[in-house]
Amino acid sequence: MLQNHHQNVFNTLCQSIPVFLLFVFLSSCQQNKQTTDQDANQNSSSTNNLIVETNDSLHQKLIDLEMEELFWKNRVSMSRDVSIDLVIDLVDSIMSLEIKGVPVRKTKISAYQISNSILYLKWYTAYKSWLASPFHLKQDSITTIPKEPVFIKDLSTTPLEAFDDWTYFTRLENERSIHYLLEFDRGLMIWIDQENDSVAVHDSLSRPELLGHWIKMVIPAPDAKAIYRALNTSSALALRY
Amino acid sequence: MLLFSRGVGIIFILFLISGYAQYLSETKSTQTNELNRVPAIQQNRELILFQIDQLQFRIIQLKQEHEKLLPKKAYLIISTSDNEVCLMKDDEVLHRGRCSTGSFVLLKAPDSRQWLFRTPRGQFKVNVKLKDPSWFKPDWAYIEEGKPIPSIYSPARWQDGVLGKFALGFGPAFMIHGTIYKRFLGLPATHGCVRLDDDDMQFIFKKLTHGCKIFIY
Repeated sequence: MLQNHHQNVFNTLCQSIPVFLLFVFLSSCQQNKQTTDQDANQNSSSTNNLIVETNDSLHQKLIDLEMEELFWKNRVSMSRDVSIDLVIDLVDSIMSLEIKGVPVRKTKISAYQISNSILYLKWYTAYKSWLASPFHLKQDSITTIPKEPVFIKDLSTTPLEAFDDWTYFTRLENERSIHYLLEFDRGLMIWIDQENDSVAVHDSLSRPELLGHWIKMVIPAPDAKAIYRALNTSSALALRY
Repeated sequence: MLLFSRGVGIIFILFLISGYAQYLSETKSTQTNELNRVPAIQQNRELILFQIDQLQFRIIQLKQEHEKLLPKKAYLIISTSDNEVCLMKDDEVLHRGRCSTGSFVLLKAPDSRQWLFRTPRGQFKVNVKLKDPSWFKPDWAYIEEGKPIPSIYSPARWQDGVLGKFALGFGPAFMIHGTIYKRFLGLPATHGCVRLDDDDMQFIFKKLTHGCKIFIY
């Protein structure tokens, strides 16, 4: 009986050993699986990081395209009016005048500076409402040249012979450097400086002190004069940045 | 003892089975999570790509709509600031030249009448083409010269040769014409009309037809 008991114990142990080995094997598999999972997680997380990074650049491209679409929509919308309109494309550094959608004057923007508040509009997607329609010119102020260089010939008070050299007025005007501020709706202000060899570009852009949404630009003097003279309170602006 | 060992063995087996079952379920859920996570990101990416394609297509359409605004025939661009004229076709320059535009002189006559001599701005069309045009001298011309003003029916009002050989009419009463005052080309010297050199005027006269557009800024 004791021998049978020992034999039964022995048999049970023998039966348990393979089960035990199976247990050890499965537990080691689970450990490997955990290790593999960790590696897979790392790989997938690194892959996901790559996808996230690529998604970020795609998202930025999406924003740029949305702004470009708004820009072209505004240009087409402005063409329905009879006014002389302004188009500012800071991405391509081009400023132009358009009449009924036909470009009549184009100039290269030598340098420009844009306020942080306008850049924040882009980051927080508030640009969609800000750029939804063309800007309208409210007034032009702080200008160094007259809007219309009117020369008064008052024959009721002055004899005709006194008005010989009227071209002197034109020559005098050409000697002034040109700077002006354009104020649009939605708080947009645009400061234009002419290109000037004697003043460094960064000095031009550093003045004046402007608040809110502003853009400062430097363009050639003849274009600055032509653009200022052409615009009036019925003019609109399409902007892209 | 035997029963105890068999019981332990059975417990071991049950433990192993449950552990294995748990292992299987965890593996499946992990795989499912993994499968769910990657397509969500890819779906988002695909959505962005789709939106980008749509936007690019719409931008192309808008650009084409904007390009259609360019006149199909030749057109003229006049800058009153630079006193330059540019004949264009399909956004290309055919001819460039100097001109004279309005002088911005405000003439105040002794009889309290006044005139501001400026060239109008905006879009216009050629409404008349004239060869050897005559000029009807208005009142302000006599006042500027300090001469007496004749009757409007006086034939002395009509003067030949002052406007050159060719003239194009636009707007209510303005013209683009040649001039005898060539030394003032490039300067604001006129009473509202646009003066060109005779050669430039002849070239432009041949290229522009009735209805061609004139842009003045």
